[in-house]
Formats: sequence, C-alpha cells, structure tokens
Amino acid sequence: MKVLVVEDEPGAREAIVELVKELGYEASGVGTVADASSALVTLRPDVCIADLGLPDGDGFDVVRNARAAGRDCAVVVLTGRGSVRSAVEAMKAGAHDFLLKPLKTSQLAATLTQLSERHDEARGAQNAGLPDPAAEGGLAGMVGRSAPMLEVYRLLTRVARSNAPVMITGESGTGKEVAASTVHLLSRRATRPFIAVNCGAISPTLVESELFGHEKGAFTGADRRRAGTFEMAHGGTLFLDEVTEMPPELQVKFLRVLETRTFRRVGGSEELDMDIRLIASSNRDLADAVRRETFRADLYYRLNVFPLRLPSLRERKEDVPLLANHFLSEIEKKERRGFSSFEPGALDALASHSWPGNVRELRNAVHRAYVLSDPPAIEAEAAEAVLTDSGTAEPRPLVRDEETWPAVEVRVGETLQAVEKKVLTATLLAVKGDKRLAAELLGVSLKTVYNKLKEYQLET
Amino acid sequence: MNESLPPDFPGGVADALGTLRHALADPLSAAGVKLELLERRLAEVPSNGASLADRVRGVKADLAAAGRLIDLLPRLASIAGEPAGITSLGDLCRAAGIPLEEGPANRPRLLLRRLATIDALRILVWFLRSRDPLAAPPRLLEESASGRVALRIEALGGSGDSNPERLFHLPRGEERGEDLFLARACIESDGGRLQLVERESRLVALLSWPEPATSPEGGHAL
Ligand SMILES: Nc1ncnc2c1ncn2[C@@H]1O[C@H](COP(=O)(O)OP(=O)(O)OP(=O)(O)O)[C@@H](O)[C@H]1O
Ligand SMILES: [Mg+2]
Repeated sequence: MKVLVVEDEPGAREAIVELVKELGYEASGVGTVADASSALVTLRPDVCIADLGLPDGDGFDVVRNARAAGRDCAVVVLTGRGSVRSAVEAMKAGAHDFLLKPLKTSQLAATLTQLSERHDEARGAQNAGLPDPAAEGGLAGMVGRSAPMLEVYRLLTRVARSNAPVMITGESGTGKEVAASTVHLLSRRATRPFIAVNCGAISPTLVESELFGHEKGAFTGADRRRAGTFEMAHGGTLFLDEVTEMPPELQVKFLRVLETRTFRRVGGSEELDMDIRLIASSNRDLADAVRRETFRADLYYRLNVFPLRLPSLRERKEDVPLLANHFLSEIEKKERRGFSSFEPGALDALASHSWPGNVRELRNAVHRAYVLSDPPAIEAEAAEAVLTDSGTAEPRPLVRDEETWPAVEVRVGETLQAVEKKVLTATLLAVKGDKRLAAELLGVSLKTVYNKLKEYQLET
Repeated sequence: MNESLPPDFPGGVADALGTLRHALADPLSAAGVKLELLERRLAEVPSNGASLADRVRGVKADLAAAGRLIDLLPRLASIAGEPAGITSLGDLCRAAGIPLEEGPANRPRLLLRRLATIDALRILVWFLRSRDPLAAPPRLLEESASGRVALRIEALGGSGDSNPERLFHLPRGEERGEDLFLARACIESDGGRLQLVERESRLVALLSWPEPATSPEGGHAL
C-alpha cells in the first residue's frame, strides 16, 4: 500500500513518512496542495494523510483533488483544532477519516491497518463488487427494490466504506437497526463485533461504567475491573439506538470520546483508543430535540456526519408484496406448515393498507395471517381480519382516551405477572410497537418497558 | 437535516484558544512521532538500548499527558465563546434535568452562560453521584445569603474526602479532575465560586454567584 503524506512542516513530514515506512508501508511526502495534486497522478497513492492547514490551501482541497482525480485514494485528514467543524467537514467532504493532532502512533497504525485490509480486498475482488440490489430485491438483509430503497442502498454502500458516523432516522419499524447492521456488514469491520446499545434502556447512573468499563474500587461496589461496551466493540461497530434518549450527562462524555478518539475506564487514568464506527438512530426529530435542549447541538453535529433517512412503508408500497413473501418464507422456514404463497386477494388487502407501523407491522400481520390460514396460501380473509383487528387504518391516537383502546381479558386469580404481560403486549400492539408511547400510556419509564420486554422475552 | 455547521469558535478569546490548541498540537505531534522512531531504533541497539528506550518511553508518556491536557482548550473555548444571558437557577436545573428542591418563591435572576452552567451542574451532580452509583441522587438546595445566590449540592452516598480541593487538580489523566476543573472554570467565568467541602463525611458542592443589583423599582436590574 502506498501512502502520501501531505504536511508543510518538513521535520514533522519526514518523521511521519519514516513512521509510516516503519509500520510497513511505502511512503513519500509533499508539502503543498499543488505538489499533492501532481503526486496523486504520478505516485498513485492508495492513502493520503493530509494536514488540514497547508500553505496553498487545506486538507479539504486534497480530498477534493483526490476525488476529482478519480482515484480511489482514501484521504485521512490531520487536524489540530479539535473543533467540530474541521473534523466533521473533512468527512462530509469525502475524507475517509480524520485524526487529531498530537498524532498517536496507535491510532495512525490502526487506521492504516484498516485501510490496507480494504486495499487488499479491493485488489483481490477487482470489480467483483456487490450484487445489484435492484435485481436481487434487496441488499445484505434489507428487502425492497423500490426507488427510495435503491437510493438508500446507494448511500449506504458509499458510506459503509468510510469511518464516518451515520445517523439513521425514520419512523418506528422502518428498519433502522437492519440498516445499521447492513452498514456494518458492508464495512471493513464486518468480521468484528456489531454491538447495539439502547440509549433509552440504560440506567443513567451505571451507564458510564457499562459503556466505558471501570477500574477496581472506582466507586462503592466496584470490586473488580470490568470492560465496557467500548472495549467489547473494539474494531467493530457500535449502534446507538434511540440516541435522543441518551442521558444528558452521558452526552458530554460521548462528545469528548468522539473528539479525542480515546476513553478511560471509570476511575482509571489509562487512555484507551477508541476504534469504533458509530451508527446512531432515532425515530424522533433530532433537530427538534436539539432545539428543546434535550440533545446537545455539538454532539448532534458529530453524529450527524452522514444522515440517512429510511422511507416509511407508505412511501414504498410497491415493496409490500416482496416483503410479505420474504416474511412468509422466513416464518415458513421456522414453523413448516407448508405455506408457499399468498392468495391474490390477500396481497390486495396488504397493498391497500397504510402501514403506520411500517415493516414491523407488516411482518407481524403476515405472521398473524399465517396462524389464521390453512396451507398452502395465506387467505384473503385472514389478511383482512388481521388488518382490521389491529385497527391499523386509524392514525396513532395522540390523546389518552381509554375508550378507543381494545380490552384485554383478565381472570380473578391470574398472576400479576401474567396480567402485566398481557397489558404490555396489547398496549404495544395498539401503538404499533412505539415503546415510548406505550411507556407513556402505561405510566412507566421507557427503561421499564425495555426491562419488561426482556423479562418476558417478548419480541420487540 | 443538512444544516450548516456552527462556526469553529465564535471569535475573541474563544478563537484565540482554538488557535493556541492548534499551534501547540503541531510541535507536540512532531515530537511524539520523532520519539516513537527513536524508541524503535533503540530497541534494535544490542547494548544499553533497552534502558535508553525506557527513558524515551517515559518522555513519550509526559508528552501524551501534555497532549491530553491541551484537549481542555477547545472546551474552555466553548465556555469563553458563549454569551451570558439572564436566567435563574430553577430554569437551569430544569434544563439540566436535575430537580431543585423548593427554594425562594421569587428566584433571583442571574446573568450566566446557560449551556456552560448546565454542563457544570451536570458534571457536579454526576461526580457526586458516581462515587456511589447505587445511592439516591444528590440533593440540590438554593439559598440566598449576603448578596450572593448560592446553591448546595449534597451527595447522599459515597464517602467524603479529607482534602476535597485536590479533586480539582489537573493530575495526569484523571478524567474526573478535568471535569471538575472545567466546571469551576465555567462557574468562575460568570463571577461565581465553586468549592467542594466535606460535611458529616459526605461531599457537598457549594456554588455561589453575586446577586445582581436591585433597581429602584424593586425589580432586578441587569
Ligand atoms: N428492509 C427490510 N427488509 C427486511 N426486514 C425488515 C426491513 N426493514 C425492517 N425489517 C424488519 O422489521 C422489523 C423492524 O425493524 P427494525 O427493528 O430495524 O426497525 P426500527 O426502525 O429500528 O424500529 P424502532 O424505531 O421501533 O426501533 C424487524 O423485524 C426487521 O427485521
Ligand atoms: Mg430499532
């Protein structure tokens, strides 16, 4: 792998060039944007490490020139300001990643290792590329071939190769978690862990040690050292689900970790490198959360480098049959009752529904229709029945009006646990899986809802 | 959501701090890389190399500590860059998501940096709480005394500290120390004071700000 170092200060440049060679790569150095441009053509580097402040321009120019040259050269920008703008803008401009000065050898080495893996891969699989999602009807676990989904796949494949944080938004049930794991699968981190953390479900007091780990004796009850999520996800991807729910104190911490790419265990002074791709998701309006001060603007900018909005199922109705068949074969694989298709009337019924609960609702509807039908095809009446019975044509009620909710039957002597489970299940069904709304209606915290779901092993 | 990013730093002292961080980062960076190379060379020298490499490692650790401390500059810059506005402790605590116990009905208005103060309050509550995550959250009480508006934050768990002042020191790499240092910088930037004291073997944070002058009509002039 060939590395080009673009740094104006000769001493620093030579030192970095030597270090890169020491790490086992070919390296050479230049001091200006102009020299970098010609070196891009003559040397054909695979990686460019560019200082942000150069005499005749900045690192962004190097990024732009590399892209204009049409070469697949990953640019890593070096910045010394530690500000949001330099880091985020570099990645928005198409840089592969940024590194903060003072440069840490371990971080430089990790970045180059990753890039060299990608380099070898690209060389090995020249043009093999990914299968065409339009022909396949999906991409790595995501199903759909509608225009909005093809656009999602396009953005997703592009961003997967960089290290930039991705912010996935979309209504509940649109497949944000599926999309996050697809980014992971398409990235160089695919063989490393993918860890999802639900920000609404973590206890604000213990969250810090859960994420960053702690040293023995860090606080009352910390009787031995413990690794946190960050250490466990090392080299992989961390998915921050429902990021707007992150406790405010933690937001400060997170921001710092993102800025410095390092973290420390609670009560520890050893600095650990963060080598994690972050993907965040939210089904609420993030900009609004920022306006209401529940979410920090600076953290928002850092996480929102690459926004990805998932379309609702209403916006891609042509995918309904494809998805329905996908879920049918998934269910059939597990339950083996001999189903292979839908009666045309059943598909018509599904097609005319508005799907406020999106793909999750569709999957549940197919499952319930499966239970109500006799093989080999899902019956039209069964499909109609499950759609009317969940009352899904109605928009989500905004006010708490008990009258409009379906009733659950409870017998004298039933265990409270069983009753709780029934009420929880029915409520979640009625609100199309919106856990936050369910929590609000049931008068408990979002965290309690998550805990109960786990306790009763209910699917979310 | 493709809004433009905020300016790097809003100018003035804040901008100067950002530039300073940048200026410091360059030589520290070069020195670190050069030391790394030196260490690698020495490791190859048969005699004597090992003990010299040990020394180089020591210098590298010193540099790393300096590198970590300059990361406080952008954070100081954001405190310095925020304009102060009229607010009250009740309002700030609400925004910080920290319940303030019943205080004076007519909460005095203060001229404070809103976001920085919210951060400082969160840092303090978080710090006091983290010493015993299983105890009840700290208690916040507003008091008004001798021309100053004061806030007490009392830990309800964890142990005290015989020399709480040392908690504010910037030791090498203690994150809590850095957080507390920033909290104090923030409070003091608005003319306030922040102390940690031990009361009945628990930690208490004492904050106070000068009460704004009262105008002749009886309202608060700021
Ligand atoms: N494009 C898709 N292809 C196949 N399955 C999908 C797709 N989108 C969603 N699903 C399925 O729908 C269900 C819900 O998806 P997911 O959990 O990713 O939604 P979400 O957007 O994270 O919802 P929430 O905001 O409620 O957490 C899952 O069972 C998932 O497998
Ligand atoms: Mg989800």
